[in-house]
This record gives sequence, structure tokens and C-alpha cells, in this order.
Amino acid sequence: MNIVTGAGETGAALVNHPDLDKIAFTGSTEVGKAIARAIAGRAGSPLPAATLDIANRQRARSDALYPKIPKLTLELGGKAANIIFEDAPLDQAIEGIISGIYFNQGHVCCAGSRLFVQEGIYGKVIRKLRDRIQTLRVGNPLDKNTDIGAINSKPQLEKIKTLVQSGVDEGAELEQTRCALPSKGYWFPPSFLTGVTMSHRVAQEEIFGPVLSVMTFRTPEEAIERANNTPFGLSAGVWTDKGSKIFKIVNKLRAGVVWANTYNKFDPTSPFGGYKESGFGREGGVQGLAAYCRVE
Amino acid sequence: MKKAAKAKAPKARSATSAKVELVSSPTAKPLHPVVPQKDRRLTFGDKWDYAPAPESVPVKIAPRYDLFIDGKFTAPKSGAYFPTVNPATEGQLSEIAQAGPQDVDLAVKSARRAYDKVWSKMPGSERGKYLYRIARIIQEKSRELAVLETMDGGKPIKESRDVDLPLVAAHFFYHAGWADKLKYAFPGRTPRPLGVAGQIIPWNFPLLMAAWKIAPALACGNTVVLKPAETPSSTAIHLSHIFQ
Repeated sequence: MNIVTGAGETGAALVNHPDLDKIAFTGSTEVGKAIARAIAGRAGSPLPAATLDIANRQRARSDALYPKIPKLTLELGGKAANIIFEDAPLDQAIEGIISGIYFNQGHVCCAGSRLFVQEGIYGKVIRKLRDRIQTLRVGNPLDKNTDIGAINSKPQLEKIKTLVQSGVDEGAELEQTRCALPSKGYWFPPSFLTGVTMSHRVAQEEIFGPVLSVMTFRTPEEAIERANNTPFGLSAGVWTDKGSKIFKIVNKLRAGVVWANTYNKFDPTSPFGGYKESGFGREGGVQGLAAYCRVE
Repeated sequence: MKKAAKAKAPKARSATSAKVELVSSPTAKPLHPVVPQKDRRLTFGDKWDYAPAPESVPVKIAPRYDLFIDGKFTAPKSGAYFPTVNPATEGQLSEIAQAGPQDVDLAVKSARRAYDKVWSKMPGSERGKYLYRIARIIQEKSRELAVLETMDGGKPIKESRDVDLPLVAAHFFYHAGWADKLKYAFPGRTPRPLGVAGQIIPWNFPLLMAAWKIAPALACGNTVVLKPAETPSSTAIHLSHIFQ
């Protein structure tokens, strides 16, 4: 194993190296697209064929006339929908929402950053959520009591601030933990936005910070339609007491991972990966092994 | 009357947080609007006091980290280093080598050599032994790795200690188990390694994402050139100490 550290240029040098058999990338959709383009260019064929058909092209690799075409897997951004039905166990669901969005300061590609609440329980959920975020402790990450640590970097903090501001400008209402933040370091209080519509930037773009966009729905069909109305498709969550509803909804959500009555649960045996602009290929489980093997 | 009440409310709040500075975006609209009394809300804020319980720092962070190529720590050909910062304090933790194209080439060549001569020829059961060993060392060192991960990335120690590190070890254990059973993963077919894998990982879970990528690659008989994210690179380098 070798480790080369560096910024974007180092990554570009690695991707463009002619002697790689496999490239695996996890990161932003923007960079993922650039990598797919770089590899597609090497193959001398248009992007969709080159990226989707890599397994077959791998076989032609032995032909020395062809440059090496690495097998590619991408795990990119997400804008997960967390759907709460009226029959859901509410307190459990609130904890799930909290850990879904505020885990790791929201720096999680599968974070449940869009919350869809069925209209009948909207007031109750907002009240509970409002109370719950006030108890989150923001501060020194090394303190064992801390719930929310520091934002990873200054540019990321700026990005979060810009997007939240755009949400407020577009008419959403901002609710934040009213806590004192340390004067040094990069911090953002846990926040959620209500009155968000599907066209708002905060409902479409990945914020990658502790910011939740709350929306409502009336029927399960509407929930599915709104949850799928995103360029991403990495993960989703469904909260309901009714098992049949879970299975019905889960099969219609275009997301690689769907959690039911829980959120952000990971296990090496379960494959993880996305649909659409969240990438392709799976990590973990048998499917994850297939990404690193040529099966003959 | 109304005006006076409005002016009083924010004053009362700021009295509880006298010493700390509130960070808010520079907008005309205040981020914390004054809430009328009738809206019942919990206002724990600063009053929700615990005694601080900071984790001690059992690791020594070197002032400078080099590249890990061919099993050795090597200074970059580019000669460039960039600082890595603790996002909770804005203090510099260390300096990390910036690999140029030449360094990447060296790393890929070394990975290719290792693949051709050793790793692809090694039976799965032997590869498994290495991976089990790595997983156990990660468990043994999990406390220092968790602290490092927290200092590097700003994530709460609660999460790095209870979620990230156990999962990192679990991924190596799981794939160590697969190393000699790959035929059972693809019944009736023969899985072969691909070769050299270039892997680029993000900054949100530096160690966990490294584990997700390295463990299956090594288990299947590939060799790896890993590019950690720019902001938190040092845990990956500590991982290479373990590999060494």
C-alpha cells in the first residue's frame, strides 16, 4: 500500500496515471464527473458508454493497442429524504432525524438533509425538533460531552453560510440552537429551515453541514415523488409503524440505501452506493468485492 | 411598552454568555429572532452546563509527514509541504507532503511491483492473515486514532471513538474473512484481482473511507495507491505506520 498526500492536483495526477487498473473515488459530484470525463477521454469514446460499460471493456484491456481503461466506481454526493408518516413513533423518529442530519456536523454524504413530514403531525414534529436541537452541545470536539464538533474547514463553513443565507433569502424560516460558539475555529450551530419548497437551493443542493430542510407532504405518493425529485439518489429514510408501507415506499425510492425506522446505520456486510448523480458501484458486502475483482 | 420589552430580551440572553463571542453571518436580518414569551421553548443554551470532560491526547504528532511509498516514508520529489489545521482551534497540527506527478508515478510503479511480485501471487489465506493483523492493530490503537481523527477533522470524540473506529476495524475483519473465500462470493466463477487500484477519499470520514476502500482491494489481491483528502491527511499516514 502506498499513500500520496496532497490536494486536487495530486488526485488529478493519480487519476491520469496510465498504469492503473481501478479507480475508486468518494467525494463531490463535481469532481466525480471530472474523473469520469478524464477516464472517458482516455478510452477515446463518449462518456456514457465508457463509464457504464467498463466491466466489458476491461476484457479488451490485454490488447496493447488500447490504453488501460481502469474499472471505475464513484460514490458522490447526496440529498437524502427522511420521510415521516403520521403513524411513526415520533420520539424515536426525532432522534433519527437528529442523528441523520447532525451526525458528524452533517458532513455525511448520506445525511438525511431533507425532512418530509406528513401534514397532520407537522406542528408536533417541529415543536419537538425545536426543543431537541436546543439540547445539542456544540464545542470542543475532544470533550466527551460534545454532540456537534467543528466544521471541517473554512471554505466549507463559508459554503454552509452561503447556502443557509440563500434559504433565508428565498423565504425559508431559520431555527438554530441558541448556544454560545467558541471564538476560534470553524463553527456552525445545528439549524433547520422550515417553509422550504422544492425549488429552493437548500432543497436541491447538497449543503454538507448541520442544516436540515423541512418540507411537508399529504399522501405516500406525494412523498415518493418529492423524495425522488433530486439529482442525487444515495440514501433515504422512512419512519412508519406499518411494515407494508415501508416495503411499498422503499421499492419506489430511487436511492441506494434506504433505512426504515432508523438512520445512518452502517455495516461492512451491507453494500453502500448511489443512484443517479450519487455515483455507481457499491462498497461493502459481496457487491463491494465485485468492484475489486475481474470475475471470469 | 412593546419596544422596551423587545430591547430587554436580547440583553438578558447575552448576560449568560458574557465571555463568548457569537458567530453569526453578516446579514440585516438577525439569525436569532427575538421570541415572544408565549412560544414555549427550551432555552438550555449556556445554562445546560456540564463539567468539561476532554479526552487526553495520547499521540505525538510529528511536525512533518512524508509520503508512504514502497513501505518507506519518503520526502516528496516536489519538495512541497502544506499545513494541516485543527478546525476547532485553527492551530496548525503538522505539515504534510504535497505529492507531485513524479511522486504519484513512483507510488504507482511501486504498487505495480508489489502486485506482480508478491501480493497477486499470495494465496488468499495469507492475505487474510495480513488483514486480520491490520484489523487487530487498529483495535489496539483505536484510542489514539480516534483522538487524531477528532483533532484533524473536528468531529466529536464520541463519534470517532464509538462509530468510526469500530467500523474501520470491522471492515478489515470482514474483508479479511473474504480473502480466502472469494470463490464462494461468486459461485461457479473465478474471481481474479484487477491490479493496481488508485483510490481517492473524502475528508468527512478519513479513516473509515480509507478502510472501505483499502480492505476490499487488498482482500481481492489488488495493491493500492491511496490519496487522502487534503484537510485531514494525518490519520491515513498513521494508518500506514500500522501497515508498515
